Amino acid sequence: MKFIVFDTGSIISLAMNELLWTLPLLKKRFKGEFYIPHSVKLELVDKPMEIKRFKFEAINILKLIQEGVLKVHEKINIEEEFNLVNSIFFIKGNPLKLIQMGEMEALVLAKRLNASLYFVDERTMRLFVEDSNSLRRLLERKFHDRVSVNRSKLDIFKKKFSSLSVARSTELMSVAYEMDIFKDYTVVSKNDFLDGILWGLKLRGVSISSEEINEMISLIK
Amino acid sequence: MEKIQKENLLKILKLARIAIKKGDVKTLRNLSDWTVHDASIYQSDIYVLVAVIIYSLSKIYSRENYETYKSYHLYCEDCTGSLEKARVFLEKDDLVSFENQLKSFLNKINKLDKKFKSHVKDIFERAKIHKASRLHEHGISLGRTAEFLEISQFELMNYVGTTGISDVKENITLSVKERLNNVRNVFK
Repeated sequence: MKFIVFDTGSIISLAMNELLWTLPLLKKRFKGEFYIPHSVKLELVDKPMEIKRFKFEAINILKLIQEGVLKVHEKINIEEEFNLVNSIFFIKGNPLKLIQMGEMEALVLAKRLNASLYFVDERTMRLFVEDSNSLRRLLERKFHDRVSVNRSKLDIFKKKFSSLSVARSTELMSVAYEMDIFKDYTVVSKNDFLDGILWGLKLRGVSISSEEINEMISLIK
Repeated sequence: MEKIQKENLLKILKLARIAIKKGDVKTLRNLSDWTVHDASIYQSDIYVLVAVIIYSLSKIYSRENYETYKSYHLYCEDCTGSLEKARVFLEKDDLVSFENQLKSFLNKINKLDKKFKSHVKDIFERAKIHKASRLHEHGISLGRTAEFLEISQFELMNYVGTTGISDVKENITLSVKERLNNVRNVFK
């Protein structure tokens, strides 16, 4: 069985852009399971159900869960990994607690399921997995101070997680376009459509630069 | 609380009071940014609360039309007095009273006239999201930031998307081509 794991942000991006309807179609093509960790379900459904502004998005996500499109994994113990990731970078002798429990649960779940893809739309976790040097440089630039690294802990983290294939909802929707999932959107040109959808995702929080959007549009078949 | 944290906060509160007296909105905003910077390092609720309060006050004082509200001047005096009380509590290392004094800022809103109260409440809510965005800009994850400021990730993502946070060179890790191919291969 194949698996894809989504973190909170990637589902929020799709929900806020009214793109959740693509997930059942994508799942059919994937022929595997789409998972969210237990704590992500709390962020996507339980909490926003109490906020009128996002209640309908929460309802739409809950519907996908009830229909089996998104499966909620049982809670896993990730205390060790959570403590590890939040004691890698230091500033003025203080450990920088950069990652939240739910975000870590999604990452650990992706690893345990040997997920084909791990979708994360926010920046910090993606940098942690793919390029911790860039993360350190960013931290130093923003804090105007030296950031020290616990090398042995960073090596443990990298050994465990750097093999994961990370993607964003922008790549998912681009590939969905190539698979003709948006075939009924004939009112505008391909470029206009992709520009609209990718900017819509960016403006609602996906960590993608405008430069990357332009490049993506040129690469989509 | 570490000595340096206390010293920084005392300085911030003192400068904030001077800026309020002068009506120096720009300094208030800078002080709020300074507080966020420290909040990112120490990840303390107190720092965040101070940042939100000072930023909110900068917004309130920058809106001249608010002066027409009956409770405006009394509210401003009250806020200045509260900042000074908070500073004194901190100086005496009475952290419980210090924190309670800061939290009382939000309770003061209830005494305001209806329309002004609605504006001020809105300003404080927006200030939380704005400060959360600044924390995230420093490199703290979106989830951690939302949890820290007690706001929803939906709200924060919506706001963060409109900033330039993603358009920095460190944001680009894998090439677009490689990332697209990874996703294509999985759905082949």
